[in-house]
Amino acid sequence: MLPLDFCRERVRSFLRELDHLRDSDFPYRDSRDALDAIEKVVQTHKDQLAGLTEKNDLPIIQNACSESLAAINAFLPLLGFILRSTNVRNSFEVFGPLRRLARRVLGERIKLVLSSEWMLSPHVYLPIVELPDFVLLGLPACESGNPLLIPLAGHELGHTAWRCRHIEANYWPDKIDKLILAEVKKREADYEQWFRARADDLFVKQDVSPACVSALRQLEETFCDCVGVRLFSDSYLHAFACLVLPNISAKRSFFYPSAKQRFANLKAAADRYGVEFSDDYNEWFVTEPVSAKGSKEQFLLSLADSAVAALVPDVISKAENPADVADVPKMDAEKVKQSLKSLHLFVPATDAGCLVNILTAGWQVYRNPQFWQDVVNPPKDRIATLYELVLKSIEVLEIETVLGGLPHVES
Amino acid sequence: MAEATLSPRRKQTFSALDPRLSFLASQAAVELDNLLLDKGTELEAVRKLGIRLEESMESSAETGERRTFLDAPTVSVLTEAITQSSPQAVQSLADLVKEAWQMATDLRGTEPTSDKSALRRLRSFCLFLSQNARSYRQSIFDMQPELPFRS
Repeated sequence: MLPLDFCRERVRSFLRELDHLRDSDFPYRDSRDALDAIEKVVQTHKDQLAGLTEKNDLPIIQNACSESLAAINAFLPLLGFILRSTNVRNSFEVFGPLRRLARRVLGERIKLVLSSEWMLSPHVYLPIVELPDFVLLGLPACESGNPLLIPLAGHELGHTAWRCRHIEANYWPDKIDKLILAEVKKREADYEQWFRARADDLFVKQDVSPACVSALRQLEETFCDCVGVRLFSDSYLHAFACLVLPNISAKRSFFYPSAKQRFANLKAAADRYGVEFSDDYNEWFVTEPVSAKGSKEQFLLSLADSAVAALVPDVISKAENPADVADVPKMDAEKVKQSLKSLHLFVPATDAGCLVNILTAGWQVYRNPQFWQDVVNPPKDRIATLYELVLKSIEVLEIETVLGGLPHVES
Repeated sequence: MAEATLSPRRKQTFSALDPRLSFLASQAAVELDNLLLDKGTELEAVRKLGIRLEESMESSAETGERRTFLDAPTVSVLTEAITQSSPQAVQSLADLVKEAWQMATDLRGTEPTSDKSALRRLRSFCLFLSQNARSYRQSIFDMQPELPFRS
């Protein structure tokens, strides 16, 4: 057997496994469509390897094998993700309303795969270039019964909006490059210390390219956070704080603003969008340390941060209308009030209109320990009761929508 | 300045951060290798790569001055690929644009009857481009902590 056959067999095994997964009991077609899209990409690698023989130049064969390996490496975790989307642990009640919201924001072609994940990070997968129409949303398994974290889905929709609307082209590469190169000019001595070169040759652009990527990714994450605020109002801020406060990572990520800065950006977005938010979690967030102080990494990150700081106001403004349409539903205080009345009576909310109203009401109950104080039999487990009521309310919303009983729903 | 007469920025289709670039370059390298071995005449990936590279640059009709739309990571990857596959030294952005323009033209114009040494040079460029793009993407990915703070 030729080493080339090992590579071919790896790809064949992957495709065989993918084929087995098709037999799973998928509650929604979107998961099956994701399998088809992945198969199409991996099939191109299979075809490429099939066309090679031992007569081909060895480095060419090796490179094609490396490409196929990189593809399998990237897509195998996705197969697991898609399989887990069939697990009954998932809150299937939220699928319909979330997909409608996704389609409202991103277009009718958008497909959603919703799964519970064995990682605390709520949304594991960045949008995948090869699967541009898919939103892959993973919620931590231990929180899969907590509907109040659904607003974090707004962040993931933001990633797809960023890509679909080519928001990146507003900043990349021109503005980011200019800001970072201007900062290098200001800090020539630091640059020369870390790169042992003058700050005015071709290589400065190459040297600082990680800072440019960092700035781009930080802006994307900031945009996504802002989309979360725009779509889910203050529920997003509560959900964000609830899951990650004071921070998860022991060190500062190269691709995210610090947790403290993220929250500050969220509050700035809330101010801009007219979202009322009185709770101040800010002092609860800590700024993660950069891995090694006084390092090249820290220098690059500081260059990125300076560019990000200059561009965040523009990003907040762009996220205000993520769908490029004016009618993405906003929180309706009257509907929230109406939903609160239902929840107080331990019945699911009806005629809530859209997800954000139910979730805003849910968060208000969560944050008010006295909410059921005046009822004859207060629930023993207030939070579990609330989660159940919110999920039922979402189910009612879905039924109302399917039956077409509401004039102004998300789709 | 000629820059003022150039059209506004277009959407970038040639990016080191796009995983499809390294695969396209790999496909192009295989096509050129097959051509050298008289195993095939398909040049679809070669031409597509040439077009994408060409679209990442623009030439002023008045002065002939060229500029690139490439981002910093792609400049880095492309410089490496050109340096590894050609005897020409790239010492400035202008050198890079000149070499890249030539490479794009050669890729687009490749024919089964093209000169073998030219085919070998292009194959070499495609191979290094694929390797460097993949490696750059991995190095960026490695900067991310294992369990990044995500939401």
